[in-house]
Amino acid sequence: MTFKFVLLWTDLLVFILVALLLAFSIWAKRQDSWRRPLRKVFRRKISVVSAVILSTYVLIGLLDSVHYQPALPQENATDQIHYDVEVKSVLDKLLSPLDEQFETSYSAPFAHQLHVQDAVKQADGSIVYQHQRLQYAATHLSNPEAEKRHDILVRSLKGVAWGLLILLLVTILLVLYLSHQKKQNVLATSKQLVAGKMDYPYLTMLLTLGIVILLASVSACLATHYHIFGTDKVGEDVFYQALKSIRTGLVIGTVSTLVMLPFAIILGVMAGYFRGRIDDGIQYLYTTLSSIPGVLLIAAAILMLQVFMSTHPDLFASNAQRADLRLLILCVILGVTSWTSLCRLLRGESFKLREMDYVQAANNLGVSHVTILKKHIVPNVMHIVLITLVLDFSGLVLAEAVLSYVGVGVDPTMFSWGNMINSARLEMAREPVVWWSLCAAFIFMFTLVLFANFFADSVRDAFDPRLQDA
Amino acid sequence: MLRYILQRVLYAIPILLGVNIITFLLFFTINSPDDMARAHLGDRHIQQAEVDNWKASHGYDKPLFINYDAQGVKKISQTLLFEKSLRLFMFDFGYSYGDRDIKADVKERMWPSLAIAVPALLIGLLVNITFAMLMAFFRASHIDTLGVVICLAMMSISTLFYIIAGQYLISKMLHWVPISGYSDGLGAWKFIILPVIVGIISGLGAGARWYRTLYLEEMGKDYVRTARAKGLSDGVVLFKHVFKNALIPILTGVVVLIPLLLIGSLLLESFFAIPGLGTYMIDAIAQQDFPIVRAMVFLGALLYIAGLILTDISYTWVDPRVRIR
Amino acid sequence: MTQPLLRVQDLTTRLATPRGMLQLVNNISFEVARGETLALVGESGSGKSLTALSVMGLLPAHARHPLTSKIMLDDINLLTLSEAQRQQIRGKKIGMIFQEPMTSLNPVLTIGDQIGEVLYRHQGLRGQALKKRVIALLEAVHIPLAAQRANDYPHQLSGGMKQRVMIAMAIACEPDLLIADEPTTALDVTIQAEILKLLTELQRQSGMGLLLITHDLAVVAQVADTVAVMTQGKLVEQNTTAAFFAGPTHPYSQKLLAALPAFARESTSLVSKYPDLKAEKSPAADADKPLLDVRNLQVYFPIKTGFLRRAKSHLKAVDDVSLHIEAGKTLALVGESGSGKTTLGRSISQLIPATSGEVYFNGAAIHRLKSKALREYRRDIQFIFQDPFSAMNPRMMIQDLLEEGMLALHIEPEQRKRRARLYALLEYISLPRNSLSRYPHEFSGGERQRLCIARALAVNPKLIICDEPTSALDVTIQAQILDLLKDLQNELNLTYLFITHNLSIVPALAHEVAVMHLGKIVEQGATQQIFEQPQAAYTKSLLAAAPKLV
Repeated sequence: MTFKFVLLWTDLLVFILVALLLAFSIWAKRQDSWRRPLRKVFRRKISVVSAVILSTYVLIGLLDSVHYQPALPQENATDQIHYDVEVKSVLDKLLSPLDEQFETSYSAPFAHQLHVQDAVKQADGSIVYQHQRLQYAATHLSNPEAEKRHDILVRSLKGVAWGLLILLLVTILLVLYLSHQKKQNVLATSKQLVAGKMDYPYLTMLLTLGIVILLASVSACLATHYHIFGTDKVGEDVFYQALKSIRTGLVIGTVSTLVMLPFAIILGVMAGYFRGRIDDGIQYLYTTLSSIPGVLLIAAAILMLQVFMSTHPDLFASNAQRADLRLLILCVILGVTSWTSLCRLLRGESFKLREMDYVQAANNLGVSHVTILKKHIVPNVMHIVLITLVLDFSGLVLAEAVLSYVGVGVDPTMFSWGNMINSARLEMAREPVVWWSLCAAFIFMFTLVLFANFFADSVRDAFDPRLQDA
Repeated sequence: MLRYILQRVLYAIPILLGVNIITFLLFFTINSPDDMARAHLGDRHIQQAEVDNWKASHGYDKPLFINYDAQGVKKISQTLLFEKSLRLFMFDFGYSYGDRDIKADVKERMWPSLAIAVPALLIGLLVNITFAMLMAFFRASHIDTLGVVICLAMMSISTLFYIIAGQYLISKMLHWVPISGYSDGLGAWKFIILPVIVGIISGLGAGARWYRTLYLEEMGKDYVRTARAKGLSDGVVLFKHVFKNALIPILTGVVVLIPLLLIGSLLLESFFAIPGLGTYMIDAIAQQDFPIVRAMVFLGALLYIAGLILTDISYTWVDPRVRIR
Repeated sequence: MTQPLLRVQDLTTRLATPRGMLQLVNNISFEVARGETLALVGESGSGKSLTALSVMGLLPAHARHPLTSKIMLDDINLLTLSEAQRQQIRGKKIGMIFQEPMTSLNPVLTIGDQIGEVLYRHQGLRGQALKKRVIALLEAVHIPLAAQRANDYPHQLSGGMKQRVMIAMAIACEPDLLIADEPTTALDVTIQAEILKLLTELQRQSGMGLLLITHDLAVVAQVADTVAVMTQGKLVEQNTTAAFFAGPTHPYSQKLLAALPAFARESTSLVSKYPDLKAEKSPAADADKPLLDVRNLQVYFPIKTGFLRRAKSHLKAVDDVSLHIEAGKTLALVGESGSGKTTLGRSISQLIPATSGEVYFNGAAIHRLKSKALREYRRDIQFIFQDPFSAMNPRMMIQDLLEEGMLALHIEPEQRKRRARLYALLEYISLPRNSLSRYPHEFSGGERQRLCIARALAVNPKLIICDEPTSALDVTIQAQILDLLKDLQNELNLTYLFITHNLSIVPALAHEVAVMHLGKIVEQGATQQIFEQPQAAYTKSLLAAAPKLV
C-alpha cells in the first residue's frame, strides 16, 4: 500500500520534544548534580508507577503523531496515484477498523443494539419502535442475549492469557538485562528482584507494567467485536475517541510549556541578573501580560484566529491541518499566559544567584556576562524549570477541557476529552441517561492527570532544595 | 501611606495602557475591520456596501491610529484606537453588537456573580485552612499521607466533572435544589448553594495541599524550635506561632483575587445559568461579540491590578516587618 | 551539694536514615551542678548541639536513644517522660538559648508576647502581673526602656538585643538549668563580651546550672568551671577549666588549643613572639610606590522607594576611605558586621561601583576604566570569600572551576600547558591530581577554601582580597588555611588585603592594620602599634572585648 507522510506542525514539535527529552536524559545521566535527584525520583515506588503509566500514554500519543495520507485505490495501474484527503495516523492503523465503523447512534458499552428505539415499518405497514441491532458490534453472535456474557468472558480470558505471555516475556528480558548489568547469574537476580533488594523498585515497575499490559490485551481482544465504551451520537466508538484524545492532551500539556520556555528562561534570567532598566522592562512586560485574565486572552486570540481562518480559507490544505494550526496557536497562547509565573520565579532565583560568591568570583575573573549566565546562572535555575514543567503539565491538560467547553479550545472536529465532556453534558440530561462518553473521558483524563501529579510531586521533592531535608 | 497607594495607582496606568495596546493589536490589526464585518455578517460573498454600512453603524469606519482627514485634536480622537480602546479608561465601554449598553449590563450582572464568588471564596478559604492544619498537625503520619493522596486525587479531577456530578446527584437524582437558574432577592439561596459547594470542593485539593506546604515550611523554622523550648504544647505552637506566620502568604495570595470576584466564575455561572458576568463573557465569546470581550479584558486587567495594589497594602497589615515609611 | 543538678549517663543518640541507623553521639556522660558552668566544646558535627537538644527533648522525630541512656534532672529521668511531661519541664526547669537570635524569635509576635507566653504557660500569670514581670525580665537583661520595648517586634531590635530577649525568655521561670547553644557566635565581638557578662551575672544571682555549648575556647576560658571536649560524637576529655588549659591530656584537645591564634593565648609580649613584625619599620619610610592606593573612596547605596525609584537618602557603606598596601605586604582590615569592610573590598576590585574616590593599582587609575580595559587588571586582583560553600558553583567540576579565569583572561591558551598549570596549583594547595574531575560537594570546607585559593592563584594575581576566609571554618582548619596563605605570600610575593572581624588572627598575619567602623577608617598603622598602643576609642573597645584565654 502506498502512502504519503504528512508532518503536521504539532507532530514536528512533539518529535523535537522527544528528542530533547532523550538528549536531556543522556546529558543528565552524566551530570552529577542531576543524576542524584533523578535517582531519588526513581527510587520512589509511586514515581515508578507513574512513570510506567505516563510512558504508556506517551507511547500512544507518539503513535498518533505519525501521520500519513493513504493512497486511494487506483482504477488502472497506470493512473496517477491520488491520496486520500483524510489524514491518518499509525494509531488509526493499529486500531482499525474502529476508526471507520460508524453505528447510526448511541449504543451502550458492550451493547449489541442501539440505545434508542427506532421506528421500523413492518411488512404490514404498522410502525413498531424497537432497538436495532448494531452493524459492527456483536455481529458474530446469533442470539446475543444468551451468548454475550459467555463470549465476553472467553474473549477476556484470551486477553488475559495473551497479556500474561507478554508480561512473562518482558520479565525475562528485564531479568536478563539486569543480570548482564550486574554481572551475576540469573537466579540471584530473580531472587533479589522478588525480595525487592534492588537499587530501584523493579518489582513495582513490573507489576504496573503487568496491569497496563493486561488492560491493553483484554481491551484489544474485546474491542474487535464490541464497543467497549459504547458509541456516541453519530455512532463513533467512544474507546477510539478516548484513545485519540490522548495526543491532544499530551500536546497541550507539553508543547505549551515548551514554546514559552526559551522566552521565560532568557527574560527571567536577564531580569534577575542585570537588574536596572532591563529588569524594569521585563517586569512591565510580564505584569501587563499576566494582568489580562487568562481565559479572556485565550478567547480573544482564538476568536481572532477563527475570523482569520474564515476569511482566508484557501490557506489550509486539509481539515486536519486547520485543526492542527488551531491546536498550535492554542498551545502558544496557553504558553504565553503561563510563562509569566515561571519568568517571575526565574527572575527571583537569578536575583539571589547573582549575589552568590561564585558569581562574584567569576565576575572578578573577567568572565563575560554571557558566559556567566550560561555557566553559572542558567544551570542553577534549571531545576526550577523542570519542576515547573512537570507541575504545569496536569494543569494544562485540565485547562484544555475547560477551554473546549467555553468554545475557545481545540477545533470542535478534533478528538479531545474537552470536546467529549462538552457533548456529554447534554447527554446527561437525556432519559435514559447516556453516561459512557463522560465516563470514558473521566477515566482516561483522571488517570493521566493523577499520575502526572504524583510524578510531579516526586520530582519536586527531589529537586527543590528547600525540601531536601524533609 | 496615602502617598504609597497613589504611587501604586500611578504604576497601574502604563500597565493598563499596555493591556489596551495588546487587545487593540489583537482585535484590529490581525483582522481588518472589513474582515470583522464580513465574519459578523456571516456571508463571504457579501456586498462591499453592506460591509461599509455595518462598519458605519457600529463606528468602525475610522482609521486605526491617525485620522488625516480630521483637524487638530480630532486627528487623534477620531480614530479606532481612541474610540474603541482609550475610551475604556473613562469607563466608556460602548455598545455591544446587539446594541446593548455594556456598562449597564456589567453593573446589573455584577451582583449574581458576587453572590456565588464571595461565599465560595470565604468558606473555601476556611475549609482549605482547616484541612491543611489537620494535615500539618498529623505531619509525617499516615493521616497526613492519606490526606496528601486525597488532595492529589481531587486536584486531578476537572472542575467540569465536579459540576456535572453535583448537578446529577443533588439536583437530578435527589431533587434537593433546582439544577440551574437564578432569582433575585433572598429566594436566590437555593440557586446559589450548589454552585458554591461545587466551587469549594473543586478547589479543595489544590488549596489544602498548597497551604499544607506553607505550614510545613514554617514549621521548619528556628522560631518554632524556640517556642517548643519554652514548653508550649504542640497545639499552641501550631495555632499561635505557625498559623500567624503562614497566614501572611495565604492572605496575600487571596487578596489578589478579591477584586476579580466581580467577574465571577466562568464555569459555575454558565453551568448553573447564573446571569452574572461569567455567563456574560461566555455568551459574548460564543456570539463573537467583540465589544463585550474587549470591555471585559480591560475590566479584568483593571481588577487584577487593583488586586495587586490591595496585596501590597495587606502586607503592611499582616506583616509587622513591612511598614510604609 | 551532694547531688548534681543534671546527670547525663551513657547517652547515645542515633538517627534513623533511609540507609540505616547513624550513630551521632556515642556513649557520653557528664554532670552539671547547681551554680556551675560546664562548657561542652567541639567543632561542627561533633554532636554537642545534638546533646543539648537531647536534654531539652527537642530532637528530630527520627532520632533514637537506647534504653541504657539516661538524662537525670535531679531525680527524674527525662528520657522516660512523655511529651506532655517534657513540655512541663521545658521552659520551666530548663531554659535554652539558641545560636541564631535573628531567626529564633517569631517575627510576627511582639517580644512582650513571646516572653509573656512562657510565664502564662508555666506560672499562669496574666494581665497586669504578667506585664510587670515581662518588663522586670527585660530590665534584668539590661534592655533600656523596657516598658516600650515590650511592644516591639523582633525586627526592630539589633542582634545583641534579640539575644538578650532570648535570654529573658529562657530565664523567665527561673529554671534550674540553662542551656546556651553557641550564644555568642553570631554576634560581634563587643556584643559577645556583653552577653557573656550578662550570662555569668544572671547565673551568680540565681544559682542555676549552665550548660554552655561552644566551639570557642576563649569563651570557655572566660566563663566555664569545667570543660568537656567532644569530637566525632565521643567525649574525649573532661576536666576543670584551669587544669584543662594548663595541660590538656587528649591529643585532640591539644590540637584544639594549639590551633588558637597567639593573640588569644597571650595578650602581651606579641612582639617577642613575632620578631619579623618587630623588625618592621613604619611603612611610610619606604619610598616604593604602593601596589594599591585607595584615595577618598565613597560607596553610597541609595535607599530607593516606590515605583519611581527616587533616591531619598543614602546608606554610606564606605565613607571617605583612604588606604594603601605595599607589594608583598598584608593589610588587615578589621571591623564588625555592617562596618562596610566587605563593600570596600568589592569596590576596590570594581565589583561594586564606587560613588566617588580613586583607586590606583600599580600606579594605574583603575577606577576610571571601563569593562574591557578593566579586564587587564582583573587578573591582578583576586578574591577569596568567606563561605567556601557558596563560593563554588555546585554544578561545575573542579577543573572547569579552576580553568574558568584562565580561559576568560586567555592565560595559557594551550591545553597541555593549562593542564600542567592546574597540576602545579593543586600541588600548592596539597590536593591530589584526581580532584580535577570531582565536584565541590565531595570536598570538606577546608579543602574547598584551598580550592578557592587555587582558583584565585590560577590567574597569577598580585593582590588577593581575602574576605573573612576563615570565619566559616573550624578552628583547627582555620590555622591550616592561615598557614597556607602565609607560605604562598612568601613564595609568590603576594599582597593581601585581609578582611576580618576576628582580631585574634591578625597579629600572626598582618603587617599593618586598618580598623573600620561605620564606613570610616578610625585607625590605621603597623600591627604592633595598633595592638599595643591603640589610639581610637573604638579600637580600644574592640581589643578589650576580644575574648582571651587568660
